[in-house]
Amino acid sequence: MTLSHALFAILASVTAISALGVVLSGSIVRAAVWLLFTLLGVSMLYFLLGAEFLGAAQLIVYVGGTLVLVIFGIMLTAQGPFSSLKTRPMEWVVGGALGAVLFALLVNAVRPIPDLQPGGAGTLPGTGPLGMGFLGIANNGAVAYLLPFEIVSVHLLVVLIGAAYLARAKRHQRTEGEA
Amino acid sequence: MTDLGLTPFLVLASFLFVCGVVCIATKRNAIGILMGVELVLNAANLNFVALRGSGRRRSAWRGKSSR
Repeated sequence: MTLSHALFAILASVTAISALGVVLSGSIVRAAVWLLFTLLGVSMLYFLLGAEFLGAAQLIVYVGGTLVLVIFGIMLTAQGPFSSLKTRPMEWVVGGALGAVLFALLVNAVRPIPDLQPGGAGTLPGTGPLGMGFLGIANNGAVAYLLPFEIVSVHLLVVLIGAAYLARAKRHQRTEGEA
Repeated sequence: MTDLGLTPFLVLASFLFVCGVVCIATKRNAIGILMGVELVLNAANLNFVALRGSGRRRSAWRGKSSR
């Protein structure tokens, strides 16, 4: 029972209990507060794993940005009956059973992954060769992924513009109908 | 780097993933579903970071420099 074991036990219990709170809390504001503690626990786990920059980025982006965005969304949409819609008990039973089965499956899949492989596959490539391979400038004739990436991004841009156009056209039609 | 194994992190990440999936399945609210998606994404990130630590430990095991 070393220090890292104790730290992992504390952080993992905090994260897991907060995640359960996100799932089980009925009020959406309480779920947001539970989510805050989950994100804090995950960032502390990043620090424990030695990824200090990622932990700081998690604190800044998730805890500072995304969670504030979620709370703003709650405050802007918390009018009417939508803030406290109850889930039926049968849905809890079915969802909990499916979640338990999925968790058992995942743990069974995760457990045989070995920790240390003395003669395993070589060292992982750094970011430099990965970026060069992505651009197609790799030396060993790697496939360039830049063209598919650009095609996908242009697709997304077209979808975005189309969605904006459709939403705007519908609102225009409704105002015409009212007039 | 910790002397913990890889498995506890993976189990915790799968627990977060399952919580996110159940949250997506049972919430009646768009923002609740968004919170479930956040949990799933955090589980994926935790998996990435845990496996990256495993890779560095593996290279240290083989006698190379750890960075």
